[in-house]
Amino acid sequence: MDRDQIRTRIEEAGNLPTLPDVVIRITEMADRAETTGRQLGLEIAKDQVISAKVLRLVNSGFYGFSQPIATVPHAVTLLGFETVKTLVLGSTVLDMMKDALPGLWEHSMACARTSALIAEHALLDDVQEVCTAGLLHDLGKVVLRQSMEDAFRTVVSLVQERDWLFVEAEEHVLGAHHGHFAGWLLEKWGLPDRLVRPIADHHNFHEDQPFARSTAVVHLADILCRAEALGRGGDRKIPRLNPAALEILGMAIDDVLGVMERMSEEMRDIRRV
Amino acid sequence: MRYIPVDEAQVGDRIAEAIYSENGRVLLPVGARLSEAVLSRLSGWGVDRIAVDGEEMPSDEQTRILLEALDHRFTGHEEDPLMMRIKDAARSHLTRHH
Ligand SMILES: [Fe+2]
Ligand SMILES: [Fe+2]
Repeated sequence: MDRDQIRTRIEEAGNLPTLPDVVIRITEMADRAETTGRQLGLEIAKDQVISAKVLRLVNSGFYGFSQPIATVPHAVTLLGFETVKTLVLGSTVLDMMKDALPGLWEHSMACARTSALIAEHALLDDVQEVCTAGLLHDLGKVVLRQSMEDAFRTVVSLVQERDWLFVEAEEHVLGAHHGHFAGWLLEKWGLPDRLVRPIADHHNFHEDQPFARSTAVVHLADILCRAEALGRGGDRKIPRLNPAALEILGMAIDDVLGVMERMSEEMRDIRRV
Repeated sequence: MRYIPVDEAQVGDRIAEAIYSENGRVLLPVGARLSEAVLSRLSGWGVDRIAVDGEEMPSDEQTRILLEALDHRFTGHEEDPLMMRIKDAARSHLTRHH
């Protein structure tokens, strides 16, 4: 399979857990300039399953809100429409995460919280958005399983037998990795670049990329969660931290250690594996 | 009593701490035995860890396993000072909590 064929398969996978009507409707509404965030919130709220999922996510603790968020319109006000839309779309995939790879859900939640901690520390403009990118950063692994199960199995067995990183095995088998997969799908879903890039590039951070600061946050958060053994990324190794990521965030190693300290205090409940 | 992830729970395990729904209703009381049917519903309830009867893994044994996995994770990064600082911090956190 060449890259275009892989991309087509991945994009088709986006339709697999047949996107609920509400998702299609809100996506259309969102594309119209006159639609307000409040209208969208109300539209999402009409679908009880989706709104329950979204509210559960926003109240999971990783955004760090001190008050519970009771309604979807309220979530839209606090998080912004793009983030809520990302959660609506992402929740269809997040549901499958627990089955895809053991520990990946815990890894994702830990990475969401860690991304928020780093983003606050480095004074990024939109902490919640980066947090959402952290939550969904490994979504491509689930998408791979949904769209090309044979390739997924080969990747998993290479990871086990040769003790590679998941991303190395994906590159070996497919010439692309879960960052690319997620990026293609999220782009097809019409999500904005500032949410897509950090997810797509979390294994290829480069300071000249667009949205490099948000990408640096997710790149660092992923590595710190693996270091602290919070959940599992599907492999037994850890990718190397690109020092340029710290530089662009204006962080020294002591800042990183401070973030790790807070992680280990806050996330005692997350399974260490 | 020991805490286990839901996917490691087995039919017949005895619940050692009640499980509550999000609005505070008791879903499973202390002493309930897990049946096949309940087991398949647990994660749908949003539960990911439960307390069941049984021996907690001895904590130094658990720590040893965690530290071994830590060493393994960082193989290949021995020459990278940044990665080694991160590893040292992680090690102190892993030993502190167990
Ligand atoms: Fe990843
Ligand atoms: Fe990851």
